[in-house]
Amino acid sequence: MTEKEFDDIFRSLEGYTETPSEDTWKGIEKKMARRRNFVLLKWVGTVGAAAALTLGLLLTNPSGVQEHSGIKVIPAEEYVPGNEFSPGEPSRPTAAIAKPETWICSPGISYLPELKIRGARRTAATFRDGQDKEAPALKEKTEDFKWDDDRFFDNTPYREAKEYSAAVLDMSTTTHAGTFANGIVSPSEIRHIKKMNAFKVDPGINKRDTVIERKSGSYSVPVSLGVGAKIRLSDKFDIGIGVNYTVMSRKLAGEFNGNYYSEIRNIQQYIGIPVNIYYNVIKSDRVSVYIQAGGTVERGIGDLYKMNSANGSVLTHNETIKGVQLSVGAGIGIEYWFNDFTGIFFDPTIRYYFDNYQAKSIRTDQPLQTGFELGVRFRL
Amino acid sequence: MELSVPRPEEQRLINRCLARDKRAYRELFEAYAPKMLPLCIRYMKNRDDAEDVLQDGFITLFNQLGNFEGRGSFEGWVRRIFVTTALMHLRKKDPLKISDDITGIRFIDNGDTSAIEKMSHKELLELVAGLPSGFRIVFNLYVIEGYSHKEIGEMLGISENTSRSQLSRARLWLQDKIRKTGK
Repeated sequence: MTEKEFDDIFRSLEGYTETPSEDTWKGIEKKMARRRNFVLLKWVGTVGAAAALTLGLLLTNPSGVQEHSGIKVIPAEEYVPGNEFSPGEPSRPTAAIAKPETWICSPGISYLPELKIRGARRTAATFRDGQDKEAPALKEKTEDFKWDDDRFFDNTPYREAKEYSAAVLDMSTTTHAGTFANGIVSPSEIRHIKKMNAFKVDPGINKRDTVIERKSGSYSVPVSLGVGAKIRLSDKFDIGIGVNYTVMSRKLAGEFNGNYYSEIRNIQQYIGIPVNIYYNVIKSDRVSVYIQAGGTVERGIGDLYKMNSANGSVLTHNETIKGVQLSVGAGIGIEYWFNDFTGIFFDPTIRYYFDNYQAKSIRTDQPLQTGFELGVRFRL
Repeated sequence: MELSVPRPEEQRLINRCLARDKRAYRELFEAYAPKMLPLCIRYMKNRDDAEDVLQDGFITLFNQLGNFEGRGSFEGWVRRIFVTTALMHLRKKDPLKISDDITGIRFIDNGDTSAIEKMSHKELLELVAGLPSGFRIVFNLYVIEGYSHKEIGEMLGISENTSRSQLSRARLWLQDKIRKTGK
């Protein structure tokens, strides 16, 4: 037998066929599903990374003062100096009152009074009128906390401020979040103010079309939907990252553009990036029960007010939510896996929301929350 | 069973796959898997590894279908994908560095090879699959796939002479096996 004849015998194998097992096709389907998930995860990861980067930049952006978070507004016309202070509530000062008719001129142009408060620490209150001018020095005297009404409502002319760097007061003790709204400043907790001092206030802060809350109503249970990826660290531990969407609403009564609405629904929406560590208590091919703990950074994407008027029409108004909401949480969870890579989860959790100057919500009123998250999860 | 897909029908099947028709994927698998499985076994030695390569090869095929320009044989193009996939799997194991023990093999010129003519395809396949890995790859690429030593050298990163040497030693190894089987 020649070498060629020898090779030809083996070359006949080219046409030989053998039927693969049915598992081969199932394996292909499984691998293709994994590849699709991987592509999806890459997309989600890219979006998540971009969102994280954006949130990170926002977190370090010095213009992040929330203009209406934790609003406790005292209308100028109702303001009586000193009336905010009651024996049981010694720490609720209102720092600046404006004469309403002098406040709003046009977008970007505001009028601010030069102010002085006895008993409050001086802060960086500088107003610009062509050039920076520092506010008068304020004297700290917390035991005898009184407003210098004469100084407050003196005849000092209001000056046009095309730009101003900060207008905040650093009070010694208080319990409520401070904020700015419609030209009325209600500063409070020292830690809020200290942070505010570091911010540059948005010139558009004195917007007239801000909803003024007169009466708080009920809160609805916040609901979150999420998409996440879970990376196995060991048999017992996993780490997860994802993107979630939260919607929450509340009822209130208040004013908007001079009209009173007895029924206002405020709907807030947040997009968040949760990072959690999971400890698997029970784990089978399809079902896992675990305990989990981690943190979430969220960014408000919508703050809608729906106001029902007497004639039945509904007026809507959107506010901008600035800054980010940070929280930490822990809880239990259960997940069901449709296949090796895709599953759904239900995570009841207890979560603490840090005070990050966000719009008033159930989270700012009750920072310690119980809730649940429902979503789709991918396994890497 | 005739597994070759007629060209127009083959093009329609490709088009359906490109449109992500899951049934078309399955049809393509059923048409070519029986031919590609023995190819994978020849390179991978055992059936489990071969089925793994078969799966990866089909996933690559589905993803690369858009690159088939319609020139030449579709089956030939498919076969190249599976050969490349098998080589990639083998490369992970660094097969050319595996010590191939050929002690005791001696070439029998014009020796008794009548036993090989009585062998079934399955037995021949087992024989090729049993080759030491370095010999197996070159023997498959040269004798069955029809690549030249130059092409093999480029594919495996070895010299043409090394390829020729591996092929000669593969033939010796097979002759010796057949001779022993015939006894």
